[in-house]
Amino acid sequence: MKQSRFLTIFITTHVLFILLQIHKHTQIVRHSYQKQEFEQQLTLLSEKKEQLTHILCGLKSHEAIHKYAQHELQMKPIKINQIKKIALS
Amino acid sequence: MISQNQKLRIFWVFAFFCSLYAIVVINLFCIQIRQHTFFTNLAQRQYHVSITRTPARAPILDRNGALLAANKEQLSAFIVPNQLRAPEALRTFLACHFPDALKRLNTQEHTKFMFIKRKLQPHEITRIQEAQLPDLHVLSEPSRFYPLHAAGQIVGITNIDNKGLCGIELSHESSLAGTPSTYILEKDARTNYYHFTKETAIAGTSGAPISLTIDSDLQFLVFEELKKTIEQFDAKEGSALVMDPTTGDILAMVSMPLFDPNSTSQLDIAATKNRVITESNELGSVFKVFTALAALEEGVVQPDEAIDCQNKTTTYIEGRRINTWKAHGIIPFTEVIETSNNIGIALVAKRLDYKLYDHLCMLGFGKKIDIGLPGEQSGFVNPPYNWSKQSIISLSYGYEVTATLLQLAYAFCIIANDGYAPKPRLLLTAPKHSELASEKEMSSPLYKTETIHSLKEILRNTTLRGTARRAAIKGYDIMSKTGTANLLEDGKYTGKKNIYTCAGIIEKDNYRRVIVTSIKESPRQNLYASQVSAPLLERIAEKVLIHDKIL
Repeated sequence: MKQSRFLTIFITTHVLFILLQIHKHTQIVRHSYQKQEFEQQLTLLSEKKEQLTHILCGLKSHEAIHKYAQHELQMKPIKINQIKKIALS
Repeated sequence: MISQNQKLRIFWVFAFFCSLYAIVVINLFCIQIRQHTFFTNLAQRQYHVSITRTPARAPILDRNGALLAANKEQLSAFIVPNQLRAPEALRTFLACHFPDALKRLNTQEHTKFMFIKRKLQPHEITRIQEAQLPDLHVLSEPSRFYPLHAAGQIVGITNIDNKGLCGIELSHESSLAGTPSTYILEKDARTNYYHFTKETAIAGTSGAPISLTIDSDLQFLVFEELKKTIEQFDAKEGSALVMDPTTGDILAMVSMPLFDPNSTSQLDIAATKNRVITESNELGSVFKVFTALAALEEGVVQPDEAIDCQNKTTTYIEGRRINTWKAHGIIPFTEVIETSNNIGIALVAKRLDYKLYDHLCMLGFGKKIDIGLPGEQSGFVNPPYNWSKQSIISLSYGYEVTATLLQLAYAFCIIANDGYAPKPRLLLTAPKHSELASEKEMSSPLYKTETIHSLKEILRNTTLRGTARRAAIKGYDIMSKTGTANLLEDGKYTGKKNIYTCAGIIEKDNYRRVIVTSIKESPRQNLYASQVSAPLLERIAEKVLIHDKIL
């Protein structure tokens, strides 16, 4: 009786360990896949960021701002003697 | 009882199975032991894949963190010549739109990979998409984008493989590019998309961003003013430089003609030259400042000492002919500089003799400053062992000595910095202002304070009533000097080709800036630096003051 109980516990424990090992491996693989998905998303977002940076640089371009100011807003370059200082008390 | 016949049958069946087992064992022996390495490698190749990833190239930034060089993905078209599915359609398409690629295809029909074109233009991408050819594939490749054209010669460009070709991109290639990493991935056979494990075989390094001392706003403003002057005088070349003399920071460095770093398909190599550092010229009268500095320091002349300029435009000193632009009589030494009289300065230089050479060397002429850009010239100061009787005369007003604009600006920085020599820098990684201030306290000045004060007074008057009048700005202390020098053509100086230079210091309270401008070869005749580069210096100084809010 004692021997059979021991065997049952022994085998059950081993089966349990094997199942836990499989579960652990499954979890690792699942998280690895998730991580890889995030990495791919990160790459895509980095590419989008690059594209947006490119567009932003185009909008912030000194030449573009200069042209817009002079042609669209009719602005003119200022001379230093045209600047008036206002003293704030 | 088992009959003899049955025994025999049992034996043969037993022997048959034994031989089968023997074959299995022999096979196992061959696979597991004899061909162990071969099958292990085969398994490794099936389960593992090695990939090498190149890190993204690091950006180049200005002193305020604005981008000067950024990454941009560009598309390239390619084919697999030995696996073409519709070769005729492909050939027709290539003949029409990419004839060069068709020529290459004809010679590389059995290769595994061939680029049709790298870095495709938008209209080419549209053509490829519209053609919908099964053999024509597109891949994304990293490249660079440069938001500020005016900084093109400093920042440089990369080649088709994204490797530095010139400028900072070339000189700091290794730190910007980083090093690639190699990973070994355990393949997932089911999806063939993901991997199970990832081991780093070779750990690479990511590229390190580089911050420059350049201020991109100032760079653009200086470029605009330089461009206007070059157009006004139809000049061939022009350069301008703005420096902070306290820290040695180069705030703006522009030279023209310029190139568009974002459009390098038809690149003019000459336009990629940063003329501020790669061209050394005889700069003419602007060098009188350094002759005066040396003479005052050595005590061979006093600022108010009367010098006989002989009231002639042409005279002879020890049989050597000297020309000057305007006749002056007996005038104080200060006025010799203010009026830029060649005869007066030559007479003072004679008193200095070989010491002038030592002073020019001490001011940084004749050796590279080394700001970390490729192609920097060291310039040349004619050494005393090479001197003729003419040499001391020529050196006194800027001949027999060649210098880059950076060297000229550096020498003016020493004057602006009360005799202390700053370390010019283009990379924002050198010691900061506070550290430099303590360094300044520890290091000894190259010139006495009285000498510097006397020279500054002379330069102040040169701007107020001398040849650099057009560089003056009301309400600001501008100390400048102009120089018009003839250029050599076929070994002879020609008055038709000149270089017009103006160097100046702007001061207001603790605020100091050194500006150097240079315009080369205008087809207009009878021009002087006072008409060309002095007004340019004034306009740049105005922009700098407004930009820095020094009002």
